[in-house]
Amino acid sequence: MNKRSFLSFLIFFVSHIIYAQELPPENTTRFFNLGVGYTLPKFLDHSFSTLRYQGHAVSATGGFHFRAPHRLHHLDFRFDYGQLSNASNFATVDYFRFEGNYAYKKFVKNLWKDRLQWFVGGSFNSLWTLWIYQGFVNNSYNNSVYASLSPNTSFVYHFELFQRQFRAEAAVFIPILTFAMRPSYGTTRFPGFLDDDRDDTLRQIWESGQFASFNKFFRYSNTISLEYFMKNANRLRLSYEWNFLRYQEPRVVNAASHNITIATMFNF
Amino acid sequence: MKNSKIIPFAILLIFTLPCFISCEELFIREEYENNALDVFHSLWTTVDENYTFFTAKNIDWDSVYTVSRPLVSDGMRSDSLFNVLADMLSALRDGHVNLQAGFDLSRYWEWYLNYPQNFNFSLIERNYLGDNYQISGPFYHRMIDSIGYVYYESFEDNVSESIVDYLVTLYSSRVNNNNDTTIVKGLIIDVRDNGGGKINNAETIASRFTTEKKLVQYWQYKDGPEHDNFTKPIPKYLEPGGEFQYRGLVVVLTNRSCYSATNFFAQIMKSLGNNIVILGDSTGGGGGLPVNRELPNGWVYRFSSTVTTTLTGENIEFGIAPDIKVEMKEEDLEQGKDSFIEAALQLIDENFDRNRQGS
Repeated sequence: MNKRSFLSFLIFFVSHIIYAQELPPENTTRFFNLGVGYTLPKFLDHSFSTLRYQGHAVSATGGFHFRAPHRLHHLDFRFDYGQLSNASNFATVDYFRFEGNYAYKKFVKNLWKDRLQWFVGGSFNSLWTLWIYQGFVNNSYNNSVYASLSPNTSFVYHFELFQRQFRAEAAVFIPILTFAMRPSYGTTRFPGFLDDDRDDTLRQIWESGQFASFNKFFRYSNTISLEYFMKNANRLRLSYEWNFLRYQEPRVVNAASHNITIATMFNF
Repeated sequence: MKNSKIIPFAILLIFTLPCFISCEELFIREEYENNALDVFHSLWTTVDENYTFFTAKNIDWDSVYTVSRPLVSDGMRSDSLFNVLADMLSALRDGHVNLQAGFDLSRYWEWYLNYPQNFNFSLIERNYLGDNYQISGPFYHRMIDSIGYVYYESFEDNVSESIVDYLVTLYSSRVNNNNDTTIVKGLIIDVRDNGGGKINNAETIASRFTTEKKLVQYWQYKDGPEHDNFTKPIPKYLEPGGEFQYRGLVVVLTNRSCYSATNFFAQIMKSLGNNIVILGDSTGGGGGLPVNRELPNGWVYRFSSTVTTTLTGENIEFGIAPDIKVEMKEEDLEQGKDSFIEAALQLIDENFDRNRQGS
């Protein structure tokens, strides 16, 4: 998706939110979500290549959302698969990404003449990426795992447009403490798993990672979503997520993705 | 302006600004440009920080830089740049180091070119294998005077567990269904001119020649950019594979063209014990696991990223010496004989006779 499309989408989205008719907050609801989407991923991992890889991926999403007037529980999963290439030799990287996030947020206050509900809370964010360099031998598999604790905030706005009910939400989290596992300096293996003869998985996982904060690890995730209320109490959800990650061990890796997902939220 | 009006604009700014400016572009930016100087620096730096044999080979990589850098200038032709980089890499004296461009592949092959070949497959095919041999997966094999002979051309060719089980069973002494006893005096595994491939193939084969889990070698990985930044030696074990492990005398034939995975195979077999003899010439070496990287212009290269040592601490990058040194004799060649195979046959025969007399 190009920038002009994004811009059009956002202007439409934002302008209608601002001028739409305001509705009161919803009652307690539960949803089971399933969706599909498109991701535009890109990354540059100095541990493996000097070249930046970019491409296209399909995504599948799922989740469980519990919402009460004064609190939100959101459990979301997303899996991406795609193929990426670089601009210099068109080598291919198979791209896998799995993300799981649990967020708990409490209502703080109404903003903007009581039109916006502001929620603040925390989240546990897990992210696994696997980039397989097709042309490489002995170092084609590039695995990373990140588990983070993050402050998390949302702004929620209910409105009616064309006699239809909508719910818009903008959410963001920025991890403050992350346990990060990356391949060791000279190989694709995690540091704790260099010795094939060890059989002490938990300790090996512990030795494979390190805790990092803004000094070494930075991640920013920003999701904007629009929900359309269907007559059967289910909803359709269109969301855009921008995700950026930077980690400095053993060498700098930068990764970002733009994702658009359409999902059905099954009320139960 | 009241807070109530500032807040929504601030919120909009916080949440949508990243989308508009695609700010990841600022961070996901390639460190090197696609020009000759950056390509040179990228290669020199990556090798400097990751190659594993600078100290073992006493290579002064800084002086290589000093010599090579003046030869590079922006705007130079691609083939000229390739030649400079290839010459620079040849200072590593490593068969696992290659630079691959669309039009050429740099290589270092002196680990075998400077030595006698000691191998002629045509001679083996005509005078030893003949018409009556089996091809089981990647193996050419037959019985020669009650001794099994197996030729394995490349460790790139995958070895299945079932084929290895079949071979070790086929070339073992056994009582057949009709109560006849088949005596097999020993086994020759010929890996000459086998330039390597996948190490797991080497381990699969070797696992049929030990009846217990054995420590066979140590590996070290780089854990920092300095030339001597290595992990502590990590033990590598070999466990018995398959239902049946070969217990007779095994002679492994090697020459200088045995490289990489074949070098590993010879070293692992040598470490397994007295029933295994390495016969022939030293292997060519190749003791580091090669890994790939890319240059800013898209060229791909590889280099050794690990160090493998024997149980006594010898670096196998420089090859595995045979237990019994053999050279191809001119008079054998004139008679259509392979000196290595003849020596192996004689060794197994003598060992068999000695054991029979002893029992």
